[in-house]
Amino acid sequence: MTFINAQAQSPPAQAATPAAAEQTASELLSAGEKAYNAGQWDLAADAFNTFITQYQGIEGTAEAVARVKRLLAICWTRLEQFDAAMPLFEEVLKQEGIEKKQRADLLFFASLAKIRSGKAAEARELLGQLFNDPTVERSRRMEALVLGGNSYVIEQKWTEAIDFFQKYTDEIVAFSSEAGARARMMWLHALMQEKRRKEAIDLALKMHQDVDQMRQLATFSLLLIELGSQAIDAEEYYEAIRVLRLVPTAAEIKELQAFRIAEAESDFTTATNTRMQVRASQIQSSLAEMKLELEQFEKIPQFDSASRMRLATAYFQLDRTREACLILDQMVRQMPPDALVEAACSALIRGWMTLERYPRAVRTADLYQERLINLTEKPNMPDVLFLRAQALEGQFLHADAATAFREVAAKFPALPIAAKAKFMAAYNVLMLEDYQAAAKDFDEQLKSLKPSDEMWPHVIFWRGMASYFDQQWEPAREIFARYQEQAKSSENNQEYLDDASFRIAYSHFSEANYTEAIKLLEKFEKAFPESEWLSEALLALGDSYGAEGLLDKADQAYARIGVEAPGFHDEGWFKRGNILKMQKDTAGMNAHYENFLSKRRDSPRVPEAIYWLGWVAKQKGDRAAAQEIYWQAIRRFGNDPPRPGVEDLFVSLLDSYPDSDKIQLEEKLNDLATQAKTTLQKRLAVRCRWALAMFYLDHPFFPAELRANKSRDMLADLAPDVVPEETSPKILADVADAMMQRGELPAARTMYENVRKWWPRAPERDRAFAGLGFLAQRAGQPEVALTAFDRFEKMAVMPKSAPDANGVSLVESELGAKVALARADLLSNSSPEKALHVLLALQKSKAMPAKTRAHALIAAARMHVSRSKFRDSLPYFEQIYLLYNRFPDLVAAAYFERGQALEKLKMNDQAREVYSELANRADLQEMAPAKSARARAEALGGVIPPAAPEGEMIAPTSSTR
Amino acid sequence: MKLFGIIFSVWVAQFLSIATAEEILNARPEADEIRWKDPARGAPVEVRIMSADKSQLVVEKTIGVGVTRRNVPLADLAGVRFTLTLAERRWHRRADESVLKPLQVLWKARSATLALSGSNAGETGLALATALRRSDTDESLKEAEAILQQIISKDWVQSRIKDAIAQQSHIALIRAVEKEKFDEADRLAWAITEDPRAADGMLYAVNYLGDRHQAALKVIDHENPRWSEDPEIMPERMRTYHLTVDFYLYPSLFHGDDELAASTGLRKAADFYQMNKQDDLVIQTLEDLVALYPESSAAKDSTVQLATLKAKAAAPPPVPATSTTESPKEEAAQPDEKIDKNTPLEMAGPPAPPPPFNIFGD
Repeated sequence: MTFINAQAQSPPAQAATPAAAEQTASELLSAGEKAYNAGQWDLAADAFNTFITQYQGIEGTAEAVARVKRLLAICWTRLEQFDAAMPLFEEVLKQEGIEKKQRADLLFFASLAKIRSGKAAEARELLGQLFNDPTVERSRRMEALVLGGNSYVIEQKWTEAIDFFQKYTDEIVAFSSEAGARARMMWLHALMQEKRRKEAIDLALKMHQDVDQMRQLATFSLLLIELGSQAIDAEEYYEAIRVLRLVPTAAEIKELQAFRIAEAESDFTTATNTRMQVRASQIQSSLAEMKLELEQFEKIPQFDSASRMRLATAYFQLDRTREACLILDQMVRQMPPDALVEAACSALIRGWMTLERYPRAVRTADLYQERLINLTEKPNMPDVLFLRAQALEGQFLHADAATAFREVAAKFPALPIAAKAKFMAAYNVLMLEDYQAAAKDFDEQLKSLKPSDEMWPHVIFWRGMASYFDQQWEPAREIFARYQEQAKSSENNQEYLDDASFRIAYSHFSEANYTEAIKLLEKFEKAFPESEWLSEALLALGDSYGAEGLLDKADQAYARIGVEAPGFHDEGWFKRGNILKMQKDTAGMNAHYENFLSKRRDSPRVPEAIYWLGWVAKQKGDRAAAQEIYWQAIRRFGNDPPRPGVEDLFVSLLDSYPDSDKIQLEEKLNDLATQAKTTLQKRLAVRCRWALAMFYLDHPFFPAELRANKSRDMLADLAPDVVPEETSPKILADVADAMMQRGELPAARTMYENVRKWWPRAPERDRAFAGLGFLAQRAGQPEVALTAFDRFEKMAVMPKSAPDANGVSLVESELGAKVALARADLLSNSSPEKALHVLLALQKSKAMPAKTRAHALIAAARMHVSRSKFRDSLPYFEQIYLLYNRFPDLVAAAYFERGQALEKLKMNDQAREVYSELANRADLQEMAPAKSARARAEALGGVIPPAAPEGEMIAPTSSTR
Repeated sequence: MKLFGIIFSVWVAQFLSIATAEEILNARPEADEIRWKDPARGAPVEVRIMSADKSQLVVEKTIGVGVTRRNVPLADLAGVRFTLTLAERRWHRRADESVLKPLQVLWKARSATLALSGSNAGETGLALATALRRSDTDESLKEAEAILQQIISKDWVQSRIKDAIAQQSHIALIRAVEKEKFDEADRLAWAITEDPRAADGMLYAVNYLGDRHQAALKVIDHENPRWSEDPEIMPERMRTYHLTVDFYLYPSLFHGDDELAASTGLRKAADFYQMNKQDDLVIQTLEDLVALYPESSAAKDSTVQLATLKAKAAAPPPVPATSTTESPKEEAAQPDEKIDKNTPLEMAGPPAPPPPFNIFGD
C-alpha cells in the first residue's frame, strides 16, 4: 500500500528548447512564472532552467537566479525529478532573506524529495523545522505533520509511525477531517503491520464514524476485510464481526469514491486558484491515489463475496448458524455468481439442514442451479445436489429424494458420491415400502461393489432388509449371512452386525421355526448385550420358549427385558402374567399385577393390569372383590391427568355389575362424583359423570327409548366443568357429539376444536374433524365442511379403502360412511359427478353398514333425478327395494320415486306396475309413499293385482276343458 | 481548534436557520449549465439558476463588474444542469430534518426543470423526500408523496424514477401501518424486501414483517397449544417462527453500522426466543447484542437479564415434581400476552420464487 504516488514516469529532463533559448531574461522569467502558477511544471522548469543556464553569474541577476532556483527546485519535485531537485534544495535552503511562506514551501517540498529519495530521516528534520515554527501557516504545519508520519510508513518503521500518529492525529483531524482521514489510514495500516489488532479495530471503528469524509474508502474497506480476517485467525470473532459488518458493497464503494473524487477535484481547483501550492500538491497526490485506487479496486474479483464469506465465517465460529446462513443466503441469492458464491452453497445448505430448515436447503440447491449454472468451474455441484436430495428426505419426500439421488449418481458416475447417491436412492424407495423395487436397485448396485468398498456393507444390509420387510425370509437370511461372513473379517463393516444377527433370528421366529429362533436369539443375547435390539430379541425369545412349552425359560427371558425399553418391558410383564394364567396360578397373578402397579405406575397399561386383578377376583367367584379392585383403582388413578386406559377402568367397572346391581353402581358413581367435586378432584368428577352417561346408554331400568337422549344430556351438561387440556380426548369428543346432537352448535364447535388443539395425536381427532365438518355443513359453509372432511380422512384411525377407479377412498367405519354421505351432499350442486362417485364407492363398499349403502343408493338415484337423468336413476331405485328390504322406509321411497321417474320418461305402463307393486306390499301399505303410489296407479289405469305365487291354485275363470 | 470547529458548526446552523431562500440561492456559484436548443446560440453557458417555473428559468450571471439577471424561456433550452456545491452534496447525503429548509429552497427553485434533459433536480427532490419522510409527520409525508409523484411522472432519468417509486412504497407502507390496513401493509412490505438497496425502506419493512409474523405465531400457538405434536400445523408454525427471527436479525447482519436498527432487532429476537422459552438462544442473542452494540440502550437494558439467564443455565437442573394432583406443566409455549383479537389471522405470504431472489422467500 502506498500513500504517495509510486515512482511515476518522470518526463525526461528537457534541454532548453530553441524557443526558450531565444527568449530574453524577462521573457523567461515571465513564462516560467506563468507556467509555474498554472501548474505546468515542465514548461516552468524549462524556462527557469534556461534562465539559470543563460543568466547565472551575470551581474545583477543574483537575486533573480536565487528566486528562480527556489521555484525550479519545487518544479523538479513536482516533476518527481528528485535527483535534480535535491542539490537545488540544499543550495536554496541556505539562502537568506527568503519570505516565510516560501521558505515553508521549500522545506515541505525538500522533505518530499528526500522522502522519495529514501532519505526519510533527513526529511523529518526539515519537516520538524517546519512544524515547530509557530509562525508558519497552520495548513502547512499540518501537511508537514501528515508527511512526517507518512515518512515512517514509507520506511516501514511501524512502531515509530504508530507513536507519531498517536501523538498528532487528533490535531490533524481537528485541522481537517480529510487530512485526518489520511493520517488515520496510515496509522491503521501501521497498527495492522504491528499486529496490534485491538488498537487497529478501535481505530477502524472510530474512522468509520467519519466515513463520509474518507477519500480512500476502497483502501479502508480492504483494510477492514484484512483486519477481520486477522481477528478470525485469532479467534476473536466478535471483533471480526464488528469490523466486517462495516464493509460496504463494491457498488457502494464505487459510488462513494466517485463522489469523493468529484469533491477532491473541486478542492484541488480551489487550492490551485488560491495558490495554496502545498495543499494543491497534497490534494493532487490524493486525487491520483484515489483514481488509481478506484481503478485497481474495480479489478478486484469477488470483493463482496469475500467480505460476506468472512463475516459468515465469524458467525459460524460463534455457533450462530442461522446468522451465518442468512449472510451466505444473501450471497447466493443476490450477489454476482463467482467461485466464492459457488463454494458458499454447500456450507449454506448444511447450515440450513442443521437448523432443520429443509425447504430452505432445497431452495438453495435450486438457486445454485439457476444462478451458478453458467460458471465454468462448479466443484461443489455434486455435493450441492446430494445435499438437496438429503433435504428432500428430511421432509419425508422419499419419492422426490430418490429421484434426486438418482440424478446425482447419473450426473457424476465416476465420483465416490455416486455410490452413496445410488444407495440413498434405493433406501428412499425402501422407505416408500416399495420393497421389490428397492431390492432391484440394491442388487444392481451390488454388481459393481466389492466387500472392501465403503458402501458395500450398507447396500448389502439394506438389500437384506428389503427382503425382510417383504417377508421373504430365506432370501433375507442368505443376504444377511453373506454380510456377516464379510463383516467378521473387516472392522469397517461391522456397523450392522447386531442388526443382521437379530434379523436372522427373528425371521425364524416369524416363520415359527422356534427351535432355530431360540438357538439364534440366545446366541444374540450373549454376543450383543448392549444392542438396541436386545429388548425385542428377548421378547421374541420368551415367545419362542413359550411356543415350545418352556414356560419357565420364557418367564426368565421376559423378566430380563430392561425398563429402558418401556413398551417391550411392559409387554414382558403381561406375557409373564399370561404364563401365570396358563399355569392357573391366580395367587401368582395377583402378586404379579400388584407388583406391576407398584413398579410401573405411569405405564399406559395400568388399567390392563387392574383388569387382570379383577379377573382373578372374578375367577375366584368374588364379584364384589373385583368391583372393589376397580373402585380402588378409580380412586387411585381417577384423578390422574389424561392418559390411555383410565376411562377403560370405568368401563370395566360398569361391566362388573350385573343388571340387578346397576342401581347400586349408579348411586356409588354419583357419590364418588359428588365427593370428587367437593374435594376438588375435578378430573375424577368429570370421569365419574362421563361414566354415568355411558351407564345410561344401557340402563336396565330406564325407558329404552329415552336412554340415548338421557345419556346425551348428561354428556352435554358436562361441558362447563371440562378443562380441555386436562380432560381425555375421548370424553371431549363424546361431549362435543352430545352438544351437536342437542343443537348447541357453537359450543359443540368449540369442544371439537378443543380436541383438535389439545390432543393433536389422539385417535379421537378424526371425530373432531368429522364433527367440525358436519357443523360447517349445517351452517351452510360447504368449503369449510369439505376441508374438515378431508382432514378427517387424513387423520382417521380406521382403515381406508384403496382408491377406486374414480379415485375415491373411504374411511371404513360408521363415521366414515356418514362423512362420505355428507361429502356427497355437499358436492351435489358444485360437482355432481364427484358426488356420484362418492355415493357409488359407498354403495359398493362391503365394509360399510348396510343402511349406509342403501342411503348411498337412494341419494345417487335422487341425484340423477335432480339432473333430469331419469333413466339413469331407475336401476338405483330398483336395487334398493331388491336388496334392502330390511329398511322399509327406504324401500317404500325407492318404489315410489322410481315410479315417478318412469312417469317422467312417459313409461306409464311400467310406472303403473311399480306403483302397483308398492301398493300391494302388505308390509309397506301404511306408509305415505305406498298411499301415494296407490293413487298414482289408479290414475294410470288402476292397481295391478299381484301375480299369484308359484304353485298356488288359481280358480279358473272359464272352463278350458 | 476544536473550539473553532464548534463555533463554525454553530455558525453554519445559524446561517441555515436564518438564511433566506435568496441568501441560500445567492450563495451558490455560477456553475450551473444551460444549453441552447438552437446551436447558433453557441456553447452551453455557466450561470447561477435562481428559480424555475413551467415557462422560464431565472438566471444570474456576472458580466463585467455586475451581476445580470435574465429570464430564459424553457422553450429555448435543450437542457440544463445544476452543479451541486459541497454543501448541497452534504445536504443530499444527510437528508434529515435538520436540512429540510435548504432542500426545500433548492427544490422550489429547480423542480420545474425535472423533465428537461440533463436536469438533476430529481436528486434534490429525492433528498428532500427522504428528509420529509424521516420527519414523519402527516404533513411531511404528504409533501414527500407529492414530490415523489412529481419525480415519477416527470423526471427523465429512470434510476431516479425507480428510487422515487421505492420511497413511495416506503411511505405507503408507513401509512398502511398507521391505518392498520394490514393486508395492504403486508403486500407493500414484502414488495419492499424485493429491493434491498433502499435501506430505509428495507429496515422499516423487516421490522414490520417481524412484528407481524410474531403476532401470527402467537395466534398459531394460541390456537394450537400442542403444535409440536401436530404434523399438520408444524410446517406453517415453523415457517412463521423462522421468518420472524430472520426479520429481526436482518438489520444486525446487513446494516450492522446502524446501531439503533441492529440493536433493536437483536433485542426483539431475544424477546422472541424468550417467548418461545428458548433460553439458550436468548443467551446467545443477548451475548451478541452486548458484544456488538455495547453502547446501545438495548444492550444496557439487557445485561442483568443476560447474567440471570447465564446463572440459571449454569445451575444444576431442578428435581422434577411427582405429585399426581397437579396439572401437568404444558410443554408447548404459552404466549404471555393477550392475543390481539384484531390481528388478522390470515398472513399475506411471500411471493412465489421471485426473480430478484428475495432473501426471505422459501
